[in-house]
Amino acid sequence: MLSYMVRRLLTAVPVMGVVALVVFSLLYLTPGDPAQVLAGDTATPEQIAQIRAALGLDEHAPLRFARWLWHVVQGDLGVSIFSGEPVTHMIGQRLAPTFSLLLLAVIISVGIGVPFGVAAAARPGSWLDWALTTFTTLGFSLPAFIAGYGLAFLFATTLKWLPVQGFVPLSEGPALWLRNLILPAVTLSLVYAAIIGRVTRASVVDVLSEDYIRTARAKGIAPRVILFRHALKNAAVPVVTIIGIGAATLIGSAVITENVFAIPGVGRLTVDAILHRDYPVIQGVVLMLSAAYVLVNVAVDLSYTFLDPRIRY
Amino acid sequence: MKRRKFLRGASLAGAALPFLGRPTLAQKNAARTLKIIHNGNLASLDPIWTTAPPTKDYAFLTFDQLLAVDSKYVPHPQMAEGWTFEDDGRTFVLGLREGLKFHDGEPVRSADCIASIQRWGARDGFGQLAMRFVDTFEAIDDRRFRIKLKKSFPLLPAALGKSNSSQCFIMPERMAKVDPMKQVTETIGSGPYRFLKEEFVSGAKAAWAKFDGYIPRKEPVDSIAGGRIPAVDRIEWAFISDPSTAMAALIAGEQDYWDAPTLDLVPVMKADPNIVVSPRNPTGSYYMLQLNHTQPPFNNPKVRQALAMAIDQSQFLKSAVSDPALLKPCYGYYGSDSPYASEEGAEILKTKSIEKAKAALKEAGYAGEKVVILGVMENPTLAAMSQVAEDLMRRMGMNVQLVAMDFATMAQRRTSKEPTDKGGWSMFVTAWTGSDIVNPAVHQMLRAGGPTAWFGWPNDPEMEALRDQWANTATAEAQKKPAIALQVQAFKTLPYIPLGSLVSLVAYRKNLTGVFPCPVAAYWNIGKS
Repeated sequence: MLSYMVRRLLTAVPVMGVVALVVFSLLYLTPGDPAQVLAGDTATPEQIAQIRAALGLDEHAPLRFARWLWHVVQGDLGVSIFSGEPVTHMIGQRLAPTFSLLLLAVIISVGIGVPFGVAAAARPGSWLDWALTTFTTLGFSLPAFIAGYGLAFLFATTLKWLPVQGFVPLSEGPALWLRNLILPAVTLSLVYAAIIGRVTRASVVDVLSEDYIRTARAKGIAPRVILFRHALKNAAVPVVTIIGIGAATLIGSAVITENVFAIPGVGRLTVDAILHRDYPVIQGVVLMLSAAYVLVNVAVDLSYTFLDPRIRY
Repeated sequence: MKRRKFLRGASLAGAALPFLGRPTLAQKNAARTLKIIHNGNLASLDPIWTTAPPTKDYAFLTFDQLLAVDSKYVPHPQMAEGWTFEDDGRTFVLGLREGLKFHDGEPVRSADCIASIQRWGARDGFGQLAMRFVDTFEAIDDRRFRIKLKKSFPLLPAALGKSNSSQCFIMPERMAKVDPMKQVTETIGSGPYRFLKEEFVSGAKAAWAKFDGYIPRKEPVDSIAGGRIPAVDRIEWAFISDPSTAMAALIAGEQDYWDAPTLDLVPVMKADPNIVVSPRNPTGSYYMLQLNHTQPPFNNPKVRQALAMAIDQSQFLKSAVSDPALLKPCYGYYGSDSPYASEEGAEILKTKSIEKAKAALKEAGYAGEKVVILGVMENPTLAAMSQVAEDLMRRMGMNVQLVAMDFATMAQRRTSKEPTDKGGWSMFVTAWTGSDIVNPAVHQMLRAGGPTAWFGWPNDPEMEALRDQWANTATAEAQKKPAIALQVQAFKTLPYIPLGSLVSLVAYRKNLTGVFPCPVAAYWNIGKS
């Protein structure tokens, strides 16, 4: 398995290289000049040219890309054009809020989606099954910013149970940390829980129609044991796959949620960097996100061997 | 590895991730902490290197100025004890107050001030004008320095104490010696609040602590002049880009002050008894239609005049705000609080007739050349006004295309002098504060030196001559004549078309004290009851 893991990680390198090249090319083609933005309205063309030269923006694109790639290989993502801070430091500052948000969103989604899906699969056509269908339809169709505003209006502005915005690190107390994250995490998990619920239901329903389940029933094994020990375990592979893919997709959805709840995470950093054309930050963040995506997928692949002993790499 | 062990280990690792958060860095006392919602993203910490508004606001808390203008734009001593002009106005001598310190405890010396003036003078427009008059700098001692001028420049105190654009903030000499084209990395200031760099997260959070070594002036506060008293122990900025979230945070009491509330949310906040919504910046925001003078059709002065005849400022202003109390048409090139505020020469702007404009357009020989409007859509006011301009010109019978874009794209495209079919442009709506258009020295948009002028590159030698005449006039009273003559000339050649002004509002919790009228986002003197 170790060799498989190494192989998978090595194949990720060219993928990330292509991602880096595509992002760099897109940025190169996108109109907008950071030197213009930071020089301000009163700068002369000479001053803007001087700033552009000082930032190395007047160099040829291939040279800039090659230089950036060489630094990346050495673990240096460059410095922000605007703040002058190392990109790795800026990303590091934003990781804790984003990880916290994603972690809680995954926990809530799995906590709601899997039991809901299993319960609906156990009684197809029942009111529970209909409830799942309604919930998933709502979860799919409700945009995160609408759900976020609605939840904030109800629980923060009206009932004043939870804060409207902001992030408190876990080091300042788990209760405070959780209080600030509940609303954004619930907002983020709505779609995700809906997907997990649907996939779990479908997968468990499939397994429940297998011969060995019928045999288990014929042997008089309790329905609860059949459902949880035999059916759910065998239905877990597609569920874990969707959890993994969903977790990676959540990184993208976090951009909106972080904006609505003013969470200083990687999503907000990305949006700010794009609006300012802060090229090193955009490139660094995208590279990091693509690495995260690849790693999550590798982790999902590896988890199959633990969930289903028949799978071997 | 066993499956259970792996799953247990993975769970523990996942649970530990949030601990990556930074440790608590300060004990926060809500009653002594002023929490501000700041609209912009504070990225750079060098107010000379960039003119970005958040950086300017950061600088006003962190650094002090030698002089500062009052609400009538009259300069007063700030860090200075006083100043004198000697030798028929060709020598400027400034003395510093006793006991002034930087945030690292070092005393503020003449050498620090000279280096700070030189760095500011290399970048700022008014500073560059002042430097053209400067011959030499000389430190007389640690608390006094002399500036020898090539010829008299009575505007030097106004330049050193100005409130608009880039200000002359005083930094330690080692910081001020940094190349003005490169950012300073230190944040050692001279102002009432000490920047807490270790807590700074660009685009998310910034914090300051009261600087105990700061000595405020005794005079009452008047705009940026007078005593800058640190009235709370700590100031925190939160950067909340979503207006609805910002409003909800203010109403919920999570934040104390919102520096730029979105105007359509104002009625909601006004309905809350705990929120005060009021104008703070007495100068307001002035909107203008910037025209490209190098490309058809606006390279033709008669087409510019025809467009000016069609403009009804109230239509543009109402597109952004419905409350009539917030709209202030302004038929002049200077702000209404400028000493040169006047409507002289503005008859063309009061025409407000599409029919007359159509006739004038026909007479001007307009032949259907395409008008490309650069519409900045991330700003609701600029977006609305761009759409009004598009509609107006369509009704005039012009061939118009509104191109939607973000600010960064517009900032690049407006540099193009190419025709519209090759990536060029014809016009865009922009805004400046009243203090940016208070006099001919700071008023970038009234520069008409062709290639050296602001985007649009108006070319009118007569306007340039009148500005020089204004700068070389000795007394404030005598300066009025060339300043107003400059406006009259501007209405003839129309470097841009004024669209009027909107009152800028702030919103804050009722328990805040000491909020004073100010053209910049100044947070000194503001306390909490």
